[in-house]
Amino acid sequence: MTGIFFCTVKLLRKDLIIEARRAELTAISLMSVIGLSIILSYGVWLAGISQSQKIELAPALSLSVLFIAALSVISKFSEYDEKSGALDGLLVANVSSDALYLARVAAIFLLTFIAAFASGLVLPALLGLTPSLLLSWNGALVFCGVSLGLASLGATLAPIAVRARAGAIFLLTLMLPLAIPLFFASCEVLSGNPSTRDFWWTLLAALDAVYLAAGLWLHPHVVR
Amino acid sequence: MSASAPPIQQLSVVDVAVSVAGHELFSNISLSLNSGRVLALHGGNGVGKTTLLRVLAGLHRDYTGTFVYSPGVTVGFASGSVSMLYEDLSLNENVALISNKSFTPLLLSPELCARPIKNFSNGERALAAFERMWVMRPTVILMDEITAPLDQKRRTELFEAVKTHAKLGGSAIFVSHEELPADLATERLVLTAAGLSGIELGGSLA
Amino acid sequence: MIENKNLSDSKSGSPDSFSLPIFTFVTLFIAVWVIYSLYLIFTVVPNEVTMGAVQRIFYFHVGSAFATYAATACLLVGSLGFLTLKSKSLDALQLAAAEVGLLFCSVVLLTGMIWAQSAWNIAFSFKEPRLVSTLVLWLLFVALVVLRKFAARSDAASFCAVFGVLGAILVPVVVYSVKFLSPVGQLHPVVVEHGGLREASFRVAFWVTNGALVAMALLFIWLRKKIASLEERHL
Repeated sequence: MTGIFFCTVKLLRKDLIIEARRAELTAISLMSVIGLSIILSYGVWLAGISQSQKIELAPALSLSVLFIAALSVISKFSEYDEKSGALDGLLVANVSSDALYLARVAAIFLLTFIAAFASGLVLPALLGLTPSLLLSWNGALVFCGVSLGLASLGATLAPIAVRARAGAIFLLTLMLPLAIPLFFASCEVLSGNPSTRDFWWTLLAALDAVYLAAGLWLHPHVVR
Repeated sequence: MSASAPPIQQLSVVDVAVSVAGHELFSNISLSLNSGRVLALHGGNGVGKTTLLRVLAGLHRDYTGTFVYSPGVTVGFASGSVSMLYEDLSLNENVALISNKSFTPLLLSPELCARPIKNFSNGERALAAFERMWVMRPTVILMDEITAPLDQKRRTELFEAVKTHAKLGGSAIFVSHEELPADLATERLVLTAAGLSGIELGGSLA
Repeated sequence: MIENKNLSDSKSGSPDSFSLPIFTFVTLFIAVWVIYSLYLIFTVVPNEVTMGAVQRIFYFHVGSAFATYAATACLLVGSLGFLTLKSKSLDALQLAAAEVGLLFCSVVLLTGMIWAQSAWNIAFSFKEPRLVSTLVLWLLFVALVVLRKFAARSDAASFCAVFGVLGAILVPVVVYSVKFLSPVGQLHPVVVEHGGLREASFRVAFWVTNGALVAMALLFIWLRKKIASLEERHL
């Protein structure tokens, strides 16, 4: 177990070092957040939606932005692995598949959470709402839950998408049906009926646990 | 390689066949690899030499037949065309991902090992791939056109390293379009769609 | 001993065990079953008091839902089985279950939307978690079928099995979690659990149709599995 832990830390460090040197993922995800937030906010403004409706709409819009940012992060990490057969090199050297998976989940989670924080800041500002709407403890926990779920799914499905035709675009097709329950649960926690909030929290946690555990078991089957 | 003497038979391949997109690439591949043996694998373009090596390295799973490595045998794979390294990292950083021990390069200078792989030439990339494989001291080393981008000096150094490896009881399969030195290859195999044909060149180097 | 053996041929190398007499008998039996259920639905059961003749779509809707769950169970068995045993036969089962599941899930969605339009004047509502969970399930099946076409041939079986496992284990989490939601505010009628089928003919038609559609789904899966195995052998 400690061996897997240290291996995971090394692999996570590798992903973060590559990101620090290339500085691509953070830039791409933040630009996605800002660009999409502008478009969606403009649409809301055109529709003449009331302030209270904007408050209800904000979590769903923010999570949509987060999803697109997460997709770009997930697909890019997989491209790094496939480039020059780098992942093959690790597999031939018998690097633990569990460590590969956990490190990738952690890396995607960190960058997705940064995008989540950005969307929680930018979108309310563009909608004319206070950032505390989403940047509360409740909001932070929900973003953690969604980011973890997306990271678990992404780490499992991205190796499939990157080797299929249409690559990164296909990742959307694979992730969407599995991510929709995450989003619904998150939206309901943030802006739904308070009486059902406990149920949706439980569902969000259950989905995270299922995706993480299933991904850990399935990951060796999607990498060569 | 482990401190105990490597087993005599290290790899046994029985009836391996690969099809790609519905067409059979090769079939009836059977061979055995013993300590001290260096197999030179030749064949025309597209006949499947790289694919066979990738099957034996565990990187290509769509095959039929069996191959068995003896207990205690470890495998290394290096390619002259695909570095299998993270090119934004240095060789030292790539090696650190797979080994906790300190890394002393065999063929490359320590200064070069500290630079990102993306700044390497093709020959340096091939050597980096070899170095990374060499770190783990595998029993069986599989090399795919590793010498193609190398100059004569580096080629000679690499062959010497493999010869030493074989003398110490390891074994190797070289995929190459060129002839290996006479004192290195113990068997020359030619891969065709119908299978392998071979010429025995000499006994074990071990 | 590190032994690498590709097991995929071990099953396909056996002689074809497809038995025409058995298949013919089973097909005829199920055909009669389906015809009998249609007879019950359109000639025996009376019109429902509130909704009238449109209510009959309920039998196809619920029966197709059961058939979809049966296909999902086959999907899980095929996917898990392939990942552990690497059997081409189980990959063919997974492929067949995904396609048949998509077919019946489409029927569930369409019949549900027709019924919803008639009953509530809206074809679809996010207020109704069952409709939404069925839509998610439908998207899962679509993704599976598309993945089979888009993935490289050497990877398709493993990739579809992985996605099949993820999708299949999600289904009970989502679908059955709906039961823990308060029914207040939901649109979907909870007919059977609340004793809505009081008339005997309703109950008979309900269970006969459920059985017929599930049997039809399993027959389709069996047939499609055979076709997939033959296609694989001839490639």
